[in-house]
Amino acid sequence: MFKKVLIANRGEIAVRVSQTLQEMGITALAVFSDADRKALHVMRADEAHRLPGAAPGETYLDQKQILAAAKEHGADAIHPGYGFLSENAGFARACAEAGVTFIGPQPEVIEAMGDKIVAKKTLDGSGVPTIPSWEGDATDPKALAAAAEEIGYPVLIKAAAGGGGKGMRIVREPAEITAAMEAASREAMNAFGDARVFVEKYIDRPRHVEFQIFGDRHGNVVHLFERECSIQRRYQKIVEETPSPALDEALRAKMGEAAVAAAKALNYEGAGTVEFILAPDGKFFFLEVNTRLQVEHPVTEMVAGQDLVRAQLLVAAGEPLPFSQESLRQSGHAMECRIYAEDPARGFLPSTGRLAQFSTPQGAHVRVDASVRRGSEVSVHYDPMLAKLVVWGTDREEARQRMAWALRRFAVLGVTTNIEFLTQVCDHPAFIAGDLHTHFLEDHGLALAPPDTLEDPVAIAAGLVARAPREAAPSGEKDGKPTGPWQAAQRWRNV
Amino acid sequence: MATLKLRPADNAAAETIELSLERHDNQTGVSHVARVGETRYEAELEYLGSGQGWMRLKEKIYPFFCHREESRIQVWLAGKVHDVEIVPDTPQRASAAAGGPMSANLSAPMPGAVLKIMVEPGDTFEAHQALVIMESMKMELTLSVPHAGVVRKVGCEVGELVDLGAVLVELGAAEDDADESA
Repeated sequence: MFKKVLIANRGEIAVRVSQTLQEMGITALAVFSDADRKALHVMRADEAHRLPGAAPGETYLDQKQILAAAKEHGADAIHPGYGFLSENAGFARACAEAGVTFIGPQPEVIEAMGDKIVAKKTLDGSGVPTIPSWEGDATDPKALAAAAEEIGYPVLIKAAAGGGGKGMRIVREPAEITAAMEAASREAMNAFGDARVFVEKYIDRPRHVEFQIFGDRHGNVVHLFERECSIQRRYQKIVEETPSPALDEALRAKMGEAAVAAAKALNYEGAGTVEFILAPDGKFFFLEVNTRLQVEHPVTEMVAGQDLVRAQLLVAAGEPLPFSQESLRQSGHAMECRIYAEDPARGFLPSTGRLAQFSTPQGAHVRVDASVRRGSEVSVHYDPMLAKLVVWGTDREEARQRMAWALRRFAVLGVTTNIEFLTQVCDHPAFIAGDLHTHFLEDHGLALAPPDTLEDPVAIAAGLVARAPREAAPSGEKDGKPTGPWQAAQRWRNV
Repeated sequence: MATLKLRPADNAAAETIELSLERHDNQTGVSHVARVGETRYEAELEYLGSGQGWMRLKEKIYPFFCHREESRIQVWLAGKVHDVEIVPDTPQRASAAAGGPMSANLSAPMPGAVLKIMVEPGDTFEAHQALVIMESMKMELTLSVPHAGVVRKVGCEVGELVDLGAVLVELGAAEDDADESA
């Protein structure tokens, strides 16, 4: 096993990786940018190496500096976390050349899965269903109609050179197909100078369901069940859970087999995720493979009772997987909410500042993976995710109730967060019913509006707080010292 | 006895309420009688340090966290964060604190970096015309105002990191400008 591992990341994932390293008696070596000098991930590591600068390009993405740091401090492996260098095949190769183990799949797997077209081609014929499409001559109305009929309505006409929704038409009726093709083709010609279009199956109300896969170099490949991540804002997941309320045993077995087939086709080593689109009729289609640990991996850890980072380390060190498909069980239900420093009432704009308060819920079956603590600075430099709140329950409703409780006991002051918005999601009847799809937030019009009135308890608490410091500290505080009021407030009861 | 005017922050349309607080020192500690309109509450508040405490209104218990920045108080209470503004007694103080309540200037809607400035002092612009482009946490935002006018002063530079609310461009209506030069 490794003696020292460099964590080429920051935030909650660096904190989380440190914990497993320390549990296993491995020295956790953190790296930090100048903006992260006092960050939680530095404090929780055993050793830390400075990367001068703040921008990701000159710090957490600087492959040369990170490899040099690994060499300098005698780290025998690098854990890339997620984001940053985690899906960079070039970095994985550079690590191998430098004699440092990259904790992740083989560079050629990272490379192949990084390109969506190559990924689809690589997995063609491996038993992984890809979305039905037709790339024939769309200017031939008969061929087009036959192709659309075979794919099954509704279909989506897409520009071959496309992007950004231009040259795209949803067609629900055979009668509309020719006109839609011509319109899409014209639009594509105008936008991209290329009139070619192709036809793809369109999925109404799709769900995002992904499978955790794991492989080792001894030929063992397993899946650790699914995660449903349909609640998304701006294509970013904000609530994840497992099991998916959409899967029964038969569908789970089928999708799990497809995920394992993909992993086998790739000789997959380490942790990965096979993402699928799931249609309301139970048909599912391959989306992509993420060749790293996912943000939402804790829900899998909770229902499977496994430490995925530990398994990553074992596999990277050449040992066999610590579990087999037969030994894995899905026990109970787990849910995760991503807590972001952002303002849902103002288009989810990021919010920055010093965390005047950061009080997390505690209790049985509640896990908080945080990147910050009270007093931390939330800067413009990095992702605005503050924490992941993860809960477990014996069934979905118990987990949901626990999540709703935990969100209401998660207090963050100093920046605006999405916590109240998340409570709205958890309390929504359609969410309670498990009726999820990727346009859930827009379809249900979930939004926060600024309140027009103050409830009496809020006004009274604010009033008492407003008056207290003046009474307690008649000399007054200095302007622009936001932390001032409470410095003298210890004498509250004596005034 | 103290009277305070409070309202939800960042919402010009919000209702302002009047709260009166009366202190009572007794053997068990300090309590307050609070009045909001016709409603009277007996309130006990205990501060536990580090910006947190709890409040009892009759039999109801409210743990709270709070954070004060000048005339704004952020209170976490009953599972939600509430942004409360203390409304000053005199209107002059209001405009001094907020830099003019109905300021027509273009200010930063989020903290971040200035990517591009598309106008210069003296330029006239149309309603919704792009004036500045900002970037924060991988997001790009084009800034404009919903009315036409003239640029008085540019208060930022390309590449500059600005705070939320920083005035990026000082704006005026075309006729305002004429008035001042006259």
